[in-house]
Amino acid sequence: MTTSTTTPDTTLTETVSPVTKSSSRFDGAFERWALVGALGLLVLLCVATLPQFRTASLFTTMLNAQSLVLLLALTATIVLRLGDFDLSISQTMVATAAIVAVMTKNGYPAYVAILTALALGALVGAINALIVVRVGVDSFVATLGSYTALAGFAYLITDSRIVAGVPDGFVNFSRSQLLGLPMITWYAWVLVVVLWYVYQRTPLGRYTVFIGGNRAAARLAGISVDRIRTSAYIVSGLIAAFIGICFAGYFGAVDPSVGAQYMLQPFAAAFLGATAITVGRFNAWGTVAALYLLTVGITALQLLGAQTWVTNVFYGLALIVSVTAAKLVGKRRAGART
Amino acid sequence: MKSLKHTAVGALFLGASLALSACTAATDVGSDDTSDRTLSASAQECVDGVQARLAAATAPSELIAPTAPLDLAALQGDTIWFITVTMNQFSVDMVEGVEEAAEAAGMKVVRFDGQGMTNRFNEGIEQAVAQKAAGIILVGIDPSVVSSALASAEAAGIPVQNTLNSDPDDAVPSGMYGNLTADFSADGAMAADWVMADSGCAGNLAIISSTSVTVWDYLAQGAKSQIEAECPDCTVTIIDVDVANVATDVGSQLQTTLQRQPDIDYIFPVWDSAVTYVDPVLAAANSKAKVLSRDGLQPNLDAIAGGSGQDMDIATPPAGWIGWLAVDDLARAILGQSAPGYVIPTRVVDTDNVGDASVESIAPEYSDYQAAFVSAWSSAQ
Repeated sequence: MTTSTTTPDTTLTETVSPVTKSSSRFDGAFERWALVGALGLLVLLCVATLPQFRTASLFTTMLNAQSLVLLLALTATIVLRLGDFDLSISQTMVATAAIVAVMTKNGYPAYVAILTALALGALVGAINALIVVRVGVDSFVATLGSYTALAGFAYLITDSRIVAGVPDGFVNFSRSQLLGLPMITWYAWVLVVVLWYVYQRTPLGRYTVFIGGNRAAARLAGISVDRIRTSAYIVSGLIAAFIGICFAGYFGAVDPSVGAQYMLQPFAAAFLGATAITVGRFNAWGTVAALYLLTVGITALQLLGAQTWVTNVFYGLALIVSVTAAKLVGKRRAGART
Repeated sequence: MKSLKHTAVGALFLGASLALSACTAATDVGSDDTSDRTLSASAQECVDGVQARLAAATAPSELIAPTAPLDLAALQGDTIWFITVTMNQFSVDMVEGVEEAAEAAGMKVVRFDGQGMTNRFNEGIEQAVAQKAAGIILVGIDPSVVSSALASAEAAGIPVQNTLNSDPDDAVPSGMYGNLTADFSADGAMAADWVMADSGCAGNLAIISSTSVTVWDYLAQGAKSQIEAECPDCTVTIIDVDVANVATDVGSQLQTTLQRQPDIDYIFPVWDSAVTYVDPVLAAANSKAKVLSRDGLQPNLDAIAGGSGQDMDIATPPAGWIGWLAVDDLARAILGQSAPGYVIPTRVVDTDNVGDASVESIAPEYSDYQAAFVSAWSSAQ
């Protein structure tokens, strides 16, 4: 069955067409692996020119620093594959982290705090699904609304204060090291493998592609579109709540104001990742490659002494260049077909 | 793809099997390097010079409270506006003091959260002008981005206080009647003194700041200047973070800096809430660097008392007291009196003097500051 994928951003739709028979095998491979190749080349270049890149500790700290963003970026792909947005994930993370911090500080057992946090995540997902899937509100607007409401909720339950003193059990859950890497990094990689398996190796993964590509056609094909979209929002909320539990442990404290700072980077990584490996589709390994490409580039710039604005420019340009390149490739393909 | 799947599953099993032998709890306490260091003559001279300053800096701050009465009758029913850059922990604590003080003086308070957005700052001031506020306490907002709204307030005869946005001797911005602030540059120098004393004048300091926040830059430059002037064997590096992305930028830039300069042994994020983002980086890098910051927020003081994640804080008296001081200062401006010239004091708090991190331990003179204000205000009634 030939499939096509779409994304919430119509600018990507032309890039998501499948590799057609008219495309050369080389072109297809180049498109799939260009970003990964760029990552490899960049790492080699950095290793050759920057002595700090010849140490394992630099790589472990880079991986560690990006774990939360990677977890959020992977979570974002769940709903993005269906042609919807879930902008609320970063604030769900902070709100659930706040719940864990406040409840444990007030003497509730850890398992009660965890269950409450997960319940909040599921509830947020269910509300998003109700508004988007049942009522039919645009997902960008609806989840922007829940994002904003959750930001206020985080302030409410923390009384606008930083809640410190998260119990050691949570800290160990996120920061304990395995093979030199904190557990939170391993959780992110486990999620990569799980999502890769679901996206690429299960019927559900295929269904998400159909739904994202053409919702009406998917319905005609007998796919339970609404049920899958609803489930995706709930799973997204649940994973965001799990990330919130990791967040509380990772920092050992929760500042209710930080949700906005985790909003854009995960989506940038997810969109950039859609230009690699499974080109045009939001995918797990592409997201990983994209995020690490950005991380290596920014770390190299920092080691070279670049000022803060340089890294911001790099981040933005990398996203623009990659997505633009993918769009141009898509146009070329479309031209080749006609 | 099948082989890839097998590889992934294998990797997971490998990770799990190694977990028992390789897993290290993040909260395990490692042994500190406590080896003594014999000081060189120049280092000893540096330490001797710094000790006197540090002795004064670690002593409890004397209570600053008004001594002159207020015409409370003239203030009855007036409304003052509290407009803050963002309603963070400090602002919440301070506005509670503002509300207490205003009630004691017979005034009302309107809270306005700027939410970190320039348009909100301007909106708050314009609303205060439209609703005929008696005065405005403007906290942490750069006056240059609200110059038009400040002109409106000035034209309406509404006094606006420039709160915690400058050093005390900085010129008063146009449209405002005065500065109510701490000496941030001196606080930076104080932090540098503590590093020098603690390290035997051989510390390598990384300062986390942002040039886009004036008072943070004052702190960073104050510390840098002091180190450069007093400690030839010390090094200092300023990490300039993006204030809009502190949560991610602090971690990213700090880990790179530690990679580039692994001998850094003191980290000074110049505001308390940034310590949250420093701890995981140090844990991941297995760094034993000491952490110091400024503000005196309760979680940071508790961390010092508990020996977990922070070693020193430059603490102001309770934020509620700053609220009372702001009301007193503004009330005098409303009544046409000259500004008392208050400067918010700070104290170096470390493991030697943190006690139980309560107000009684940190600022013993401030345990009943409200009574001092009320007494002074009503002394001529």
